[in-house]
Amino acid sequence: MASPTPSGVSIPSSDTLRLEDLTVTFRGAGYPVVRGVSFEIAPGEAFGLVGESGSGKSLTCRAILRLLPRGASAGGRVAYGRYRLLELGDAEMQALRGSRIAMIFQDPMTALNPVLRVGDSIAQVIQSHEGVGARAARARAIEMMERVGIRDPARRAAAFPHEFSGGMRQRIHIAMALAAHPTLLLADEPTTALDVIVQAEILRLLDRLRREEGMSLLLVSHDFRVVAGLCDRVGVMYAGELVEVSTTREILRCPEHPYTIGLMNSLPEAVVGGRLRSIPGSPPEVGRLPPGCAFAGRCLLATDTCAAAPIPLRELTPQHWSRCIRTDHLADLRRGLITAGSAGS
Amino acid sequence: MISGAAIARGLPTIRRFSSTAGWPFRVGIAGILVIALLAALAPVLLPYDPSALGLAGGLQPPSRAHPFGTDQLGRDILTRVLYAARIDLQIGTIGVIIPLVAGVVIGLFAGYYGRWFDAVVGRVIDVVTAFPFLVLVLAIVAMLGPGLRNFYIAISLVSWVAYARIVRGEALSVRGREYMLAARSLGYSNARIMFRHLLPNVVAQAFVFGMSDFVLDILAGASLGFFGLGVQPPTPEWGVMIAQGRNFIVTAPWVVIFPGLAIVVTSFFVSLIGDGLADTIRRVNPV
Repeated sequence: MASPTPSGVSIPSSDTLRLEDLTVTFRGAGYPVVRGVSFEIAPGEAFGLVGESGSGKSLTCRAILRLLPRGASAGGRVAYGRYRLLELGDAEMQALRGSRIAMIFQDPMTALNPVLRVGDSIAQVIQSHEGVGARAARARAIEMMERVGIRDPARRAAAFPHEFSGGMRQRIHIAMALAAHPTLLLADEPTTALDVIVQAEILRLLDRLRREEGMSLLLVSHDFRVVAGLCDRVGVMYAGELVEVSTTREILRCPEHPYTIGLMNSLPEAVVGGRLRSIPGSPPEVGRLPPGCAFAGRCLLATDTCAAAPIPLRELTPQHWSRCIRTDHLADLRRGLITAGSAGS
Repeated sequence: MISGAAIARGLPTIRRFSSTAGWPFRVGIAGILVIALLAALAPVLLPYDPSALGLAGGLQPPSRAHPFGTDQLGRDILTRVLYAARIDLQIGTIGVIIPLVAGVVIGLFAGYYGRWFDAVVGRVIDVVTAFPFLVLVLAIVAMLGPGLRNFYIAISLVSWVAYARIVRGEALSVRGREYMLAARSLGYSNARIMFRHLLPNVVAQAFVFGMSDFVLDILAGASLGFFGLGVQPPTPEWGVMIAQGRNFIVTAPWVVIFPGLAIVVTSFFVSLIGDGLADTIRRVNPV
């Protein structure tokens, strides 16, 4: 098969990724840390998962490739096209990794093997998935390095990871992930370890490559801005659950969950009056979740009903889902009128 | 700096060492090569036969004809020291390679797969480590009977645990690194991950230990020779030479001094190699 060129000659067709009621449970814990996450990513679509540390977004991401940490197991259903990923045999799963579904990780300083020359690292991906010769694989690796914006790739291919800067390493990491032309890319905080300028470059690169390759993208980040800039749709996670799912445009225009509003208000851009507005309190401990809404304890609009029983994800419009029963009262919160200070006094 | 053609092959770790190691490494290598060369060329360089009894009588002090003197049987000590290097270098080399390969593979499996295999290996390591090295080697050789082959068997049975423990520990710490997860996310087989991604990152410490183990093995060989369980006379071996000369240590110290010096010098060069390797690791992997 011909390798797709930047002009997009033979773009491999992407499939729909469908998560249904995904749970992730650590052995001996007795309770799931990812609780019933469901969403779909259409072919070629970019979907973002936002949430704070410990909200289960990375575990969700890793569960798709079945690369959970030791002692963690996934339940529910994950389907990619005709593959049911959680039920797949190990060998089939292995064949899918890298070739159909690839993943990039947070820290480019540690995501590259320090003893392998970067050209070898990339060529290995191609060789192991496409059975091409070493020479052809090397040529493709150099071509790939050029595509991710590494100057003088033929010479740099012989260098070791420690000879590159963080941003360059992340480019090489991306080149590795995309070397076998996957149709779905999982990016787990791909720019978190980088400074802002480099971060913007890497995001632009990811966006460009995604469009060229016709890939679907699952982007995991704690940073709303990163996700908003790249994704068609966004899911917001809190305490292991999706609390809101919508299109990026819609969620920016009109967030329908108090946590989402808090998350957006706490961005530096949203600062009004010189103070960063953080969400008061801290997330509940998994295993000691309240019976009702997990956010109720920190929510300024919480009522007794909120805390009493689990809140289902509710369809507001076909595009917009929220796990909040007080969406009618969110307007003031959105305008920033109710803040921690005024509500408490 | 490095040609593009050299991209894809070979053990990167080794190449990295030779290109970045400092002077101690090179001096050590050179020293060992010189000793090996002298040992190989001994028949050409020296007129004496290592086991020919001297007609002129024994225990002659160093002289122009016999720079290291002669032993109690009138044999030229310089000749015997050089011939002995053949055996002692072999003891060091074989005594390192077999346990190193076995220990590295076992440690790699234990560290990568964990679970029951790791538990079993861990217990065995603990038990073997509980005994002093030399006592265990002596016991096994005493059981199997004297001779070099049995000595190698004993060394292999005992010292693989040191390598396994080093590699297992390193593998456990490297296994959790993100690039191991990245390797899995790229669909590599366990074998490829273990040998191409994990091994090069964990084997360096084992090499460093191998250098000091080389010295330990020569000393163990010498000790066994001393007890009559190692190399059998009249084959020259440094330990045996010292053992047999010990009665004359006061009247004719050269009989034991020169084989002893040979051990010291060899150990010194090997340690330099080890230091060079360790330095290189620290420089390339500063964490």
